[in-house]
Amino acid sequence: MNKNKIKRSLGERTFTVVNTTLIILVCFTCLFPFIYELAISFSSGAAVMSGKVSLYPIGFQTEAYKKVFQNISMWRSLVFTIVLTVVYTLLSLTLTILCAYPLSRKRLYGGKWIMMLITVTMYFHAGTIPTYLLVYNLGLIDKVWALILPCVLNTFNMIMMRTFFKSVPAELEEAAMIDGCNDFQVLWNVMLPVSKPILATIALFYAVQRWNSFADALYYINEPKLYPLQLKLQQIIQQGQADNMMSDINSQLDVVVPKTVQAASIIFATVPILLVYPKLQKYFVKGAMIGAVKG
Amino acid sequence: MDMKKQVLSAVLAAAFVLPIAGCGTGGKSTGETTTLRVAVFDRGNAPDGMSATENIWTNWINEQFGKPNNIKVEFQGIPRNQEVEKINMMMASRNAPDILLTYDKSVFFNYAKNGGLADLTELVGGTENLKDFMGDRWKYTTYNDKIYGVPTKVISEGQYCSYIRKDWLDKLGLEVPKTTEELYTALKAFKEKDPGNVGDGLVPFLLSATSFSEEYWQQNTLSLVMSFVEPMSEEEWYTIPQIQYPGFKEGVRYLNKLYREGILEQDFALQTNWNQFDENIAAGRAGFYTHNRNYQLTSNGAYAMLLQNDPNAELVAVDPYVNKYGKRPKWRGATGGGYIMIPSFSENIEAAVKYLDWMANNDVGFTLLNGNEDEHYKLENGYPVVIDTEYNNKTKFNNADLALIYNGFDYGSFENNVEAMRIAMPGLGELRADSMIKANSDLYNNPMDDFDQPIESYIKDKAKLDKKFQELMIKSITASESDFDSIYDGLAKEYMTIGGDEVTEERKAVYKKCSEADILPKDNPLINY
Repeated sequence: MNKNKIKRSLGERTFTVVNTTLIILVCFTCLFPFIYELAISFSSGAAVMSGKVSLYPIGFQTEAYKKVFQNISMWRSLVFTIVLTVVYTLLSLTLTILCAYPLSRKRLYGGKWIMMLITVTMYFHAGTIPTYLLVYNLGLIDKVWALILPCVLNTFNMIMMRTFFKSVPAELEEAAMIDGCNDFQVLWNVMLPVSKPILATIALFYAVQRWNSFADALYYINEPKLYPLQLKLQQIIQQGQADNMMSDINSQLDVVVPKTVQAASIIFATVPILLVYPKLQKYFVKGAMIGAVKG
Repeated sequence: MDMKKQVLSAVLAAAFVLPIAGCGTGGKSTGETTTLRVAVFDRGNAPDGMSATENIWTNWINEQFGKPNNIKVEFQGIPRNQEVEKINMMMASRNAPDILLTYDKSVFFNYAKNGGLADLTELVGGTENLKDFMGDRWKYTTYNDKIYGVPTKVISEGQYCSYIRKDWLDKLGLEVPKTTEELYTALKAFKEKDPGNVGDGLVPFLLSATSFSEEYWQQNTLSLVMSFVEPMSEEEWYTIPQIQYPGFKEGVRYLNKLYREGILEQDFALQTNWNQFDENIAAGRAGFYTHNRNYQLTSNGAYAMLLQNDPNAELVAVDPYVNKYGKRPKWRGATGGGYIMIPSFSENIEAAVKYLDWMANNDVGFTLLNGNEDEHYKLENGYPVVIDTEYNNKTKFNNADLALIYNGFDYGSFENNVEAMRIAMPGLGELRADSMIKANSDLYNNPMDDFDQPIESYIKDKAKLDKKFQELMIKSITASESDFDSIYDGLAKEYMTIGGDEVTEERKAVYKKCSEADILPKDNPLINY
């Protein structure tokens, strides 16, 4: 045993053991749904339906994935969702910056009032049907814009960014102005370069939000070509739950999607965001810290 | 500095103005042709290159119906499981298609009551096929003497059927049970002798609490309990809630006995969906169950999985619940089937009725449902037999949904329809046809379905009453023998005070009206006429 090592007391060691066990258990609880779906997606239909599958596949097969991969509409949805997420994130980020920066400066005339008006929207919503009516009357039904504009600026994200901007010393700004910068130049040349962490965080917030939401697509989109992946997924899963209303005779036909294919679809839709997430995770942590520090 | 402030404001203004650039109303071009918008369920099962709204058959409809009538039929997909949300949303915004379909009765009556639906009485009266096609089914979409929608034509109305493991019976040398007593003997033997060598997980009689719903959706128990109900007077049948029917309590007591003897599923109260139920069938742990006719009898349903797990397994349809009078009463199911609605703000009400009228033509219906001869089916004794299921799934995947007014095709008589069912599906056809026969004996309706108006107090308190009903069933079935009466009576009393009494009063008034107008059917096996 290394002599230099500080000997730890029994209490400390017990703590470490108990702590590690607990953390592993918690981790497992979070991972279990993924493992479970993964196991199901590789198991035989009979084994799944009999409730035999939990941690590892039984009756190994890859038919379910073949079905998902061969489904062109899944790929189309995937590509569409990626494009949608990128466009949405860029647009949202731009607008959030344009809104947050002026509101972070004391020089803005009436800034407090504008801020208050904006904050109100964080607590009071118009409700589903009025929102739908608005979107409808703007002529956005069945348009990609219906998935972008109604949620293009998230008040909470904007406030977080404003808080960060506020924490940037006013002296920096003043120095730039003395050098002859106008507000746009200050924003572009001074503020944005020092705000990279918050930009990354907010971008990630927007991207994940867009990737995971399907309710707006459900309401505003009737055209199957514009179905984002999550709506497509939701449709597949719901279809798997046999309709018990027998009066809907069609639900008795073979339209029910087997559980294995459902699981394979879930994995298909989850993997892209899983691949991106770990790389950006550190910003998430930072983002939470930024929100916590009062500017 | 003033200048600076203005620029700053401009930055902020940009945040608000930019999004508006994305908006812009796309003008709709209106030509000579009428555009009829029809909702169709999107079940997410469209093959590549097609969608629920644009495929071979939507083109066919436009070719056959659209062109001659100068109408362009445009389909709008509605995700099957969000049907109600989506319909409400579109109705509220007055942006609904001209033709909508729902299976939710309350949605239909709600809109009929509130003036959301077009009055079709006159238009329907003038139709060539549609009026006669539905026959007396129009009563299901009539509200205050006016027709506010089109029902769907349900071919087999009987809702429930029971299934038993024939291979287990054979092992024990028992006959297929024909009475409740024989069923009891068989289940007892399943429990004691375990002919399938299941061991611990054995469930002789499957049950899930999911099935306890006040409005007659009691897939697992209703047929059994109703075989204990004594025939009563017409007024009683139409006015009192089912838990007060003479004999209903005895039926529940019987379930209680099965539960205490370990014959009934012991964990049923914990189950809030059908997963466990299906698992028990597929894994071969279940001996017997009652459920919707054809429940899980599809090519990838629980029965198919059971056969994969155990090729020797065999389920047969049985009809054991018989009452003292030799009757086997069964629920007729949701009698109206679906409800086809035409919004009152639609500009194409006439074209919409015309479309449905066209569909009511038998040849149109037959082709739409079955496809083309020698391509999708071949005829055998005059009934279509599917040639290649895979091919059909690719080329006519949502025809049953497009054929709005059909809920199965009518071959002229019940016997013919059974025969068509038997032939249509190699493999499962026999069992499905048998289920159809067994499910359709001595049918009765949900009493409130026979009225020509909804019971308002019932709609109002439905959720509350439903919950109380569930509580009553679960607590009574799991009670000890000595507590059974006090638990059942206590909860039945609570049921009456939280809304049951009010509903009864309203039903009395409506019954009186309907009885005087002589619109109640006279073929109910549970009424002493």
